[in-house]
Amino acid sequence: MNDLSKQDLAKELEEMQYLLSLHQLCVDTDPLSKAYGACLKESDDKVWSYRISNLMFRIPTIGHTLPVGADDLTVSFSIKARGPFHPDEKIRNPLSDLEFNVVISGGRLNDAGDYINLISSWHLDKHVPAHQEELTKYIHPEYHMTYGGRKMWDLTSFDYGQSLILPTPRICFPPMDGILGIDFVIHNYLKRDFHKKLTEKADYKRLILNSQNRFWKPYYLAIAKAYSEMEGMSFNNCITHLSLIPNLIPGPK
Amino acid sequence: MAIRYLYVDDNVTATVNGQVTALNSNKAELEIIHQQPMGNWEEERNFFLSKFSEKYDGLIIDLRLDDEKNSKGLQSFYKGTSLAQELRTLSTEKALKEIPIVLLSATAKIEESLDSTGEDLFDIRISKEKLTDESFSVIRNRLIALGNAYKFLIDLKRNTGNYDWSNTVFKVKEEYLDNRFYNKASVLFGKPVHSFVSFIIKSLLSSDGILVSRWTLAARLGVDIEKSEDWEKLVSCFDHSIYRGILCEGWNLWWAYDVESILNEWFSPDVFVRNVKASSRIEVIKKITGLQKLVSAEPLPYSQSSAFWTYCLGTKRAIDPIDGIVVSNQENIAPWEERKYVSIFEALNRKHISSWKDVAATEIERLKKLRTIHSRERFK
Repeated sequence: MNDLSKQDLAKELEEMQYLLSLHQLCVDTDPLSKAYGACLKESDDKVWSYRISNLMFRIPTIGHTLPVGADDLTVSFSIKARGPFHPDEKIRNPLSDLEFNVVISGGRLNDAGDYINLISSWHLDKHVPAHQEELTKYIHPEYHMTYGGRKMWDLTSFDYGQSLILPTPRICFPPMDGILGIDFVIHNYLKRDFHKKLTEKADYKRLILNSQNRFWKPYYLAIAKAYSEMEGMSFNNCITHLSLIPNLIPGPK
Repeated sequence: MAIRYLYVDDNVTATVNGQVTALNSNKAELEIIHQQPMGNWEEERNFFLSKFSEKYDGLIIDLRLDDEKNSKGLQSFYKGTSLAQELRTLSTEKALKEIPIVLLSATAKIEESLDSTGEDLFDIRISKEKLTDESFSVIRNRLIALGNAYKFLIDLKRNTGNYDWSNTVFKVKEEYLDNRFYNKASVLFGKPVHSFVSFIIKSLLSSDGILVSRWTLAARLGVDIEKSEDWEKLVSCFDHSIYRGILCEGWNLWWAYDVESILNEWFSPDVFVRNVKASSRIEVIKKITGLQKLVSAEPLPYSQSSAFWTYCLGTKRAIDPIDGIVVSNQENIAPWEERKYVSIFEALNRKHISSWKDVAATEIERLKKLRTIHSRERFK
């Protein structure tokens, strides 16, 4: 990460915008265009920052839905992320702030012929417990994925039927940036036949590789350190398995 | 029937005829007849409203009409762009038949006198310098293609019955085209002919995407054109994919989707040709086609990948877009158009800079870094 600049990050967002547009995966790629501008404006040499607001993907029907017959699905992806530019090759925490939301909306016709709006939402959060008291509550991995989230809480009149939506479990998940978030949506909500022309492309894969190196590599290596000395690697202690997977008991090394 | 263009230029006929000799090589197909500007705006306008339409199918015009006096000793004070604008307006008002208008001017003058509004006035712009080198035959073909296209479209627009529009104009079914392109094209078909033609030239014929050029075809096959004796024979394997729609006589292109389908048939179903190295592609192509005199293209200096998919605008050599630097002026390309690149090699030594002008704003930092990394090298 030590050779990276805000222009490099902005260019990657712009490249993703071009690829999504060319392969017709997004309704409108303008949110990425704004993210490009935001990245250049809000970042400096020490900190990068950008947001992508409501990048929408139209999804052909997914089978096995509950309620049955849910259709007209749109996935909206938003992210606000901030992180440091690393001055050296040490393994560090790649993000200082993260708000990441995937909202799936659609609808179905009920027996009376009324159109019922449906919504489903996941969010990926970064959280470091602020004080000792928090540690006694529910387990809280530093990077976690939760179902439900603010987008569903915000709705005032929402018929939850028989579903029970809780803020837990908070499932351990590696950190993601805008690029990885888009990849997450594509791979989880679009059939392979639909996206393979894009996702098999070397240009696309390079974007993913770069982001995975920056965000997943430190995460997985920090966890691996629970089981191995990881000699030859230098870790900055701002990312450890203790916060990533709080209940992990280190094994013999 | 020959396509006849009137060429309005303030130079004397003897000089002009020298310049357009190559274009007049076969007057049965294409004829260029020179005339100096009238020296008087009203007279000029009237000439076009009265005598022009019956004799000519198109207009070639110089940018500067006001340098020399004409044979009657009159000097014009209007520019080529003003006259072109007036003629387009008259066509839209249906006072004048719709015709191709081509700009023929010295390169430097084209750059300095034209702003972006001027760009849409002319179907194509030609530098006078290009008339004397090998590109004259391309220019000739494009002039003929434009003449034919305008006649064809004017005729077609009179047809109010039901017909397969896509097949008639592009020689393919509607489902075959990118739906965004199809929608825009069908809307523009209802507008003046020059708007439609401008769009087709800019967004379909001048960019890879729906169609591909010869260099792109070579890149996707992984072939070094110059070193491969069997290149033309290989190209003929794609004859079925040649673009035969409107303006095809002036632009030699192939349907991208068709080319990819043929390639995919030659390789195993789970192989993504885009990611295959050129040398491996050539091996498979040799086996399937039986053509042996094919040499795989090599990456340019500073390029890493040989999974070529496009070409460098400067050197015309094959590149992988990963190794490409995006060229400037592409912020507003249509979503179905693929971007144009130069190789890192070309971006650094700028030998063919007139073909690409500049890199995109998003690439400036990257180019700076590359320049620093390679600064110890010497460039010819």
